[in-house]
Amino acid sequence: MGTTASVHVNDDIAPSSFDDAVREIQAELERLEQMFSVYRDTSEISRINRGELHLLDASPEVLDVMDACSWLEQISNGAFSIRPKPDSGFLNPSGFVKGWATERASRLWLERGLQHWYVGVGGDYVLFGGFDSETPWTIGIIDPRNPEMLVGNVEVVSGGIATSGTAERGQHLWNPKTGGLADSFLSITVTGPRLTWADAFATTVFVMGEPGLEWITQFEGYSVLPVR
Amino acid sequence: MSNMNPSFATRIAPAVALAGVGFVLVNALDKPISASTQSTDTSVANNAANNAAATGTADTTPSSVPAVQSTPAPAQPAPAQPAPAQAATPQTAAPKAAASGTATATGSTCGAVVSTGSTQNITERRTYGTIVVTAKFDASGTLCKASASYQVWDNRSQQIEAYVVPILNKQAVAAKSANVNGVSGATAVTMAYSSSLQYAIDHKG
Repeated sequence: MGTTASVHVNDDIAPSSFDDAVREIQAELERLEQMFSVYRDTSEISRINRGELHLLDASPEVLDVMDACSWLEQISNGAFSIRPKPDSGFLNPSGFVKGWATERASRLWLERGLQHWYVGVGGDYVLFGGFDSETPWTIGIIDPRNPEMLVGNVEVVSGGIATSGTAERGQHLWNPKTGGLADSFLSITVTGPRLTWADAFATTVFVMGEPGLEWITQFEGYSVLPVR
Repeated sequence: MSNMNPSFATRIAPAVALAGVGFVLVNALDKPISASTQSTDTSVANNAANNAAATGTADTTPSSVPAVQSTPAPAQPAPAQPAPAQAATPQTAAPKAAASGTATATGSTCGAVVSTGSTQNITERRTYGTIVVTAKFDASGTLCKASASYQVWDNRSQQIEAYVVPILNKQAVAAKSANVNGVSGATAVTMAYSSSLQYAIDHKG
């Protein structure tokens, strides 16, 4: 993942328990990174890619992710894939793991009983309970054509929001089926009940192009905001 | 994180609320690009809640901020900075009353405390530069100025960074004037920037 996390808690909690809560999230994200990072030789993914670890012997988390990725690859007719090339045995689930890991780590805060919070990793958020009981969280969507501007705000009480796109660094998503650049949209933002799927669907729709806007309607509760 | 002061957290909460202020920062890009190393400053009057940052250009110092500003930001990352692993995930947080904009400083000198952040890699698929943020605080501990030095390794990045970094400097001190809690779509530069800034805040001593 190699990115920055940002958290916000709007509960009355002691600074020390806040610090504990942050450390807890940090530790869980680190644990998952160790498991999934393709940049770490010792990660399970790296060991699987080198043929040192069989998928059957991998951690339950790895199997969960592979399962979810296979399902999405199928239902997206290959637009989403964790294999750089269709015939490649090399796995790179990074595009899925960021959202999934953020959501998974944030469960720890549900268990803690925190009431109003979010956890954001690299611009993707798990939000819970609104800023307070009357006010939803407001997340601005960066204008990919002009990163000092926002194209709009999205209000979420509880759920996930993720953006896939080209902001700041130019195009960086390829269509695994055609090998071509995915260039129909400048960015795709998806909101929905779970960040795991908001994030994965955003990537998928971005790659699919215009047909993706229709494709995503089959998933109840997920909304898409395209920027062209 | 142990010495995190919640009121600071409030100031930059959340670190990636950064771009939210963009609505009011229309003239922040005023730095020509001349070298691969850039350093940009911004300041606001101590009462950040009044959008002081919104009307200035990237290196204009409001008259209410004393001349301590003349302390130059380091052109390069200082030599002996601890540099956490690239994947470090500094956290920004705001317990109760975040974004309420009620905390104001007492008009003390900006720069009473100066803290330099960690050197952060700017990474998206590959690492293409580094950034380090220097934060100044007044005597009451309010963040009143942020400046950043960065180095990037190709022309295209350089142009993007020259554009983004002055905005981030302003947003860091004016984040509470943003009407959003966070932004989605932020990527490499904002992430590296907020990591370094958070380090500076956590280690302001």
